Amino acid sequence: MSNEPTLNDYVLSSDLEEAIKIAEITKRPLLIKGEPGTGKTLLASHYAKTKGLPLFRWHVKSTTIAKDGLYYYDAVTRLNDSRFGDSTGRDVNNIKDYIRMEAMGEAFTQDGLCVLLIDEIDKADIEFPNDLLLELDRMEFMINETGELVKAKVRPIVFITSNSEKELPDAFLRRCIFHFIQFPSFLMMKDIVKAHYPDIDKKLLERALAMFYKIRDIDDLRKKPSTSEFVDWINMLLHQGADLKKDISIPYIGSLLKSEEDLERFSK
Amino acid sequence: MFLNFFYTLRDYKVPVSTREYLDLISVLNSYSEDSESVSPERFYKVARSILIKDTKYYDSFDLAYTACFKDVVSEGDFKDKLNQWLQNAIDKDLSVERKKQAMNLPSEELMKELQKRIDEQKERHDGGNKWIGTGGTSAFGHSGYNENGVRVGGEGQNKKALAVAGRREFKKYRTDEILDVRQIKVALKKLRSLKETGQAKLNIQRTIDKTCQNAGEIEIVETKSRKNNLKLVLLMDIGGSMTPHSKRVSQLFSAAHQTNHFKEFKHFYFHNIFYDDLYETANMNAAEVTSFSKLKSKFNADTRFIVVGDAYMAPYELFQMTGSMREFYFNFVKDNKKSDLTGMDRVELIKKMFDKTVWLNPEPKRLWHAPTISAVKDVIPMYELSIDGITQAIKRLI
Repeated sequence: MSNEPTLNDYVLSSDLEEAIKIAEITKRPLLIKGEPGTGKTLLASHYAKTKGLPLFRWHVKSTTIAKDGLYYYDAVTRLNDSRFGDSTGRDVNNIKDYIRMEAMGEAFTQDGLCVLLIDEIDKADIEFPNDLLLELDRMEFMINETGELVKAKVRPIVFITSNSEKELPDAFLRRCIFHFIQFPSFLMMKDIVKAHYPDIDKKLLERALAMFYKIRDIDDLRKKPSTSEFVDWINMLLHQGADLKKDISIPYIGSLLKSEEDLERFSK
Repeated sequence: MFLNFFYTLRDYKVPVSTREYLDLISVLNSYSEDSESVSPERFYKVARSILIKDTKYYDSFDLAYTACFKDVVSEGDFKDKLNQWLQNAIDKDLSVERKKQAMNLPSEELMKELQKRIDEQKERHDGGNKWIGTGGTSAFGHSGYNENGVRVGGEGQNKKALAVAGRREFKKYRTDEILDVRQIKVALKKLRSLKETGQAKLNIQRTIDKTCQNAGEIEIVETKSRKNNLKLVLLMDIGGSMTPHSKRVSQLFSAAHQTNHFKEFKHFYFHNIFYDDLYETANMNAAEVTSFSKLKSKFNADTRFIVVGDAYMAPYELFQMTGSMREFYFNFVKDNKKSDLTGMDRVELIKKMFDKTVWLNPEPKRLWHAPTISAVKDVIPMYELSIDGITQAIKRLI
């Protein structure tokens, strides 16, 4: 999305609300799957904001290993300090001064309740989730350099998102609460758009929705347009003052369909 | 009833464990402690979030739910049973107020109408028609479920959960029936044998770290890259009886093709059973062939072979030297050059040459008693061409 989505715009379905509640009660991580663009990542920010809790994000990449989210031992700075550093405020003899907490470590060391987001866990190696079992289960880990045990004082609320690019291991799944965000229904989509653009013309919205779901109904599309793309499209329509009265062509179709093949299939 | 539901889920092959069962009890228990009511619909949602971990099991969950709770007509019934169960499970008394709520019985008319609608919906669904919206249930929003938030009044609420379950919206996520390129790719990702290969290279990041940890004493760290060392060959039967399955085969092919983590990926085509030549193109151009006997020199013994075909043909094609396609083939294509191997011989040969060979059959298992299929199956392990089949086959290949 071009402009950072404001969190007030987030429309929470009752199903999802229920799932969050269960995660709160069981203190287990909430694993969220769903089509791209259905607001999986946004959920954590939304939740943290409405509850007024601090949020820690860990964006997983293909090269991420489990330790990356826990802590980082900054040996380079320490060596530098030992040779040249005089008034850094860090004590070279104290290794703890060079241990930096990463997202998960930060979340565990909070005094109060906080929210931890592990984003796109399926991006990493297949074994990656298994390396996090103990950390997620007991909410603790060991800093090898100092032998210190970091244990969460309050179990954080953990959100984990996955695009199902890889299958997640069973042992990991057993420890999660699972929710699948279904693609919004016609009515829900209306609410979502209204949350973003409260002043939108009713007729325009109806027509736009009709067109959007018509496109999504085409089978064999390589990538069906998502909620966020639809909202972008609406934004564009409003901005350009396009009206959808003429039922002939869809303006700015490029913001909904993003591959040549899909465009071709659509024009058929 | 609820314990029964748990075991029904297991019968439907949903992996649920004691741990999740205990979680479910603890959540429901915590709801009742907060004196929040647990309607059937809520139970449906809660149970699904806790017990089910993948969309592929949503459909089985719906089926199990329908099977277990279809006779529980009124919410009162449901609540009584739920309470009973919770009491048994945790031996806790429930508030009088909740029991009062359970007695609340509204009009029967509406329920009948709803029941009718649900039955109708099921039939239409089974007929394969596409659902339009959620009309069935939305017309019955009388009980004010949405307005009042969680508090549910009125009977027949289980119908709503049942209606949701009965609609089987998640059927398309099943993995034992449906194939989808993305899902196959996910399955194929497991097909790997990681090996540290090539020359060790200087790992600068780790060298710096190590050196710094040694307080400046230089320590060089060299690492070898881990690469998937696995070679995969796909042999696909095309034409004839395979035509109805061509979509699924091409899905498998494009998934394998797009999964670029194999060290080597090759594919060949054949018709019915391997003759001397394997075709490199789908239109079976006789000029672009790889001879069967060359497979051995071309691929080393630990290359994985996946054969896709229905193995369904006239028995003489498989077992005899003379047969329509064979005769045609040797007489015209190969200029009367004879081969002394039957199709079955080649099936055995390929398994002997490449131990890691599996066969994926697009025909459902119940048809595998056909003589040619069962003969092939005895030699090469055979799996259904479905996500589950592919997953099992891959386990065999690793």
